[in-house]
Amino acid sequence: MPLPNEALEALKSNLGPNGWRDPDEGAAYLEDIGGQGGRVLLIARPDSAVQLGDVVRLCARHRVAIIPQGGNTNLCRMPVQTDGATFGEFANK
Amino acid sequence: MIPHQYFPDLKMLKWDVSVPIDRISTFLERAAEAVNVEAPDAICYAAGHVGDGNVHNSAFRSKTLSVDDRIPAILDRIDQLIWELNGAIVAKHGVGARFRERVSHQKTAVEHEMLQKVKACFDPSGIMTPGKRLKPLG
Repeated sequence: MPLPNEALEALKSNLGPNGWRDPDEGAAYLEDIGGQGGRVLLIARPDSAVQLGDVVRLCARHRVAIIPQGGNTNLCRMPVQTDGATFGEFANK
Repeated sequence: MIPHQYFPDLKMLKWDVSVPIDRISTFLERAAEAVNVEAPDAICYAAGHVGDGNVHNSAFRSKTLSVDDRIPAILDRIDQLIWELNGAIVAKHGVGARFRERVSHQKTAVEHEMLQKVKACFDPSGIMTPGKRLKPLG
């Protein structure tokens, strides 16, 4: 299920201007050592547990998937989208 | 298995294996034999965290290893060996999407289904890191 536009805008607003990246401008988040991952809806970079909780609650409410990403040093295709649909992604700073 | 970063024309196979500590030497010896059945010119070596029973077994610098159709047979031989020695084919570097299918054979079908059902309790919509670690139920 896609995230309604107003929910996406609310999420961006909650995270603040430095708390999210447009996937079209966040290439480094969308690939790992195994190569390019799939498309995502948004790269969220929550700055606190409260913001992280907001992201998770909103995605759960709208049935939008979350792919956590830390330092992206993995070797197993974990922190990139590999499952075909459109997903949100958050990077845990 | 990851691509070889340092020899672009050649493939490197790399495992993050755990086996009981007293079986590490047996594993290394038999793993090299198993790799060389499929890729006779492959060079095997290992580094690891021996106290944890964790071995990074590697095979590299081989023209036969770089023939892609040899790789599934090598991976299968090593997986079977690890399980025979009561080990795990992924120790600490994570299963992710890359190893999900192979890891699904590490336990019985019933045990795998139990794991899927535990995850489904917390994530009924399948939205928590989809595509990784466990295949979805059904």
